[in-house]
Amino acid sequence: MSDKKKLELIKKIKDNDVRFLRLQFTDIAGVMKNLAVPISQVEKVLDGEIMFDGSSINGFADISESDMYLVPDLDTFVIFPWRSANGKVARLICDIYLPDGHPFPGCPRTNLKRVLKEANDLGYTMHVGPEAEFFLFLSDEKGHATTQVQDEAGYFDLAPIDLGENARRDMDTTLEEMGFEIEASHHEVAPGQHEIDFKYGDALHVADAIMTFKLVVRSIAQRHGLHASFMPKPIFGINGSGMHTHQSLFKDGQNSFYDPNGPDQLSDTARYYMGGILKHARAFAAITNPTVNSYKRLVPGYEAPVNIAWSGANRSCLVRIPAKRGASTRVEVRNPDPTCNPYLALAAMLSAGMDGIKNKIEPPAAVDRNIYKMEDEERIALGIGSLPGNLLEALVELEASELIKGALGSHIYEKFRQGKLEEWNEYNIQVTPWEVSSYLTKF
Amino acid sequence: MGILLFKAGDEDVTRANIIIGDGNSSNRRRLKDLLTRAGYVVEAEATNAPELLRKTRSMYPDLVIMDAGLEGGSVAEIAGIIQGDDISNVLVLAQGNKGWVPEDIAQIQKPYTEETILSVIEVILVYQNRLASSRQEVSVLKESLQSRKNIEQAKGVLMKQLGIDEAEAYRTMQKESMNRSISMKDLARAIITAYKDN
Repeated sequence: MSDKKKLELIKKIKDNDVRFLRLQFTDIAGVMKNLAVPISQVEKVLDGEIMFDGSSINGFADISESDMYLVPDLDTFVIFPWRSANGKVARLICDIYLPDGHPFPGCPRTNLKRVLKEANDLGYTMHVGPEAEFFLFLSDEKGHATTQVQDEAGYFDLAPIDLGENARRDMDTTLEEMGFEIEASHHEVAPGQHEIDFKYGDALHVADAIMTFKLVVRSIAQRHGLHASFMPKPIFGINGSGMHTHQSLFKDGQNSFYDPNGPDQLSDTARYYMGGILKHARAFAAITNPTVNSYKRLVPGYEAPVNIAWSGANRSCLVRIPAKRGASTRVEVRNPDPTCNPYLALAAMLSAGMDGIKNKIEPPAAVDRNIYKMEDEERIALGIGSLPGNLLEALVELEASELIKGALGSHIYEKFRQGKLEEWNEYNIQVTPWEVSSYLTKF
Repeated sequence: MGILLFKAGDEDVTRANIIIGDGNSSNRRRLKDLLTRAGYVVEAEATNAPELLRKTRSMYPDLVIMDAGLEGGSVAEIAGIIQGDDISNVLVLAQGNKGWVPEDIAQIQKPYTEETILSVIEVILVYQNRLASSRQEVSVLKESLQSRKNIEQAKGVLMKQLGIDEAEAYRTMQKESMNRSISMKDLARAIITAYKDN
């Protein structure tokens, strides 16, 4: 860590009268954790001397190995543009280290760096462009979230004002002030549903950006009296929220997915990458779709993929190849949802794709028909598999895949599996309103 | 925000728009009566913090009066958002030490007399007006300062590029500005952009 950079940062902090630093990291479940430190501690922060108790973070470590250090990535410094009652706040994203100076194997960010380096050793840099969808709901009198959608609430007589649109515009400007390049920002299919896309970048930077993005969207929504939710399927019967993830590999500054002479102008690398994604989709689903609720989104009829196939335009497939070629050639993986831990999800998908490249896995032929409308026999005849139907099935698939487990590392995998099995079991013993209404009077 | 013409002590109160945020319905009714009698327009009422934020963001009132006991968010935070994002001014009705509020947010202690709250409101609105017009003045001044800077810079560019003296450069710009019917300011920017890479 160069001293020049540190001095620059300290100057920035002073010039902008920053009062607090938020040290951020993401736990295995994909939840951002914060340690707020007063600005008087800035030297300690920059020297990576801030300690925290790792055993208090879910799924992180046992009490015996609880002392951990936060080492900030200085390139992630940003001042939050919104004001708070306590003055200006800035953040730094951190990697977690053990007291002996080694990186902590349970840190998802460090793990992603490891997987990216493996690809990098073969000359590849992963580029990612995410499209995260979310709902804006009204907050109730206690400030808690509801599932009431503002646009339909008929809440205001002032017709032209859409609170959601206003809030989203505010999110766009805030994100831009924080250095995001917004590519698209629009209302989505369902009432109250929105999507903001930002420019693609290298995978680590984008994983950081996804976490920041979720924080900004939630904070700004709150400032508008709304609640932003990234839950995959908050309301039965309408479209859920996904996070389509566009991916490409660059080699020597060139997009290695593009080949003007290849079939569909796609290179072998692109086809093999896709082959790997399709082959391992069932195994990485637990990572890209990690909640009980994730699988309620992955049902036919709502533009979410169910079937493991690829196509140029067909949105019922797991993988779509957008029409753009040249430097923009990419594969769009459509099953991930915004509850995933982006560091783990990118590590898992990259490993799947790289396995395809290393072992020259040919993808099956493209499916250009709407799979939702196919009969089962037809799908079986075409060899189109489907994603796991629920979290438990996904966890079983993950358990069987040495490749994806390897992409997580044994520490993260073990903690992930434990946490998710608990989550499944807790869900499984619930008696849901559906059961009551279906069985109570019938039997 | 409409243009309000207040002077402290004026009896003629222009109709300012106010939103009330208070969880207690009889408090709201009493305050609304009082404000309406004094000539203000109570645009909306909110019973909790998120609702207050939503209504304030939709209506941009001249003033928000919120009770310190409002539920659904911290008073300091909500008042900070409304003032910080320049949506409206806020007056907090405080009771004892409940709900700490930063110093830059106006507050009066409950119970208050009618005279107290009305004069406080009047003062807030008057100062808000003066602040708004000063802000406007500052932005006009900033703009003209920037234009002058740009014109000077463009003049310099022309002098260097065309090898002419200052008076001639200025004259050239004046002529071009008239011929093309664009302001000196825009012309200056165009010249700077055109020669930026040279």
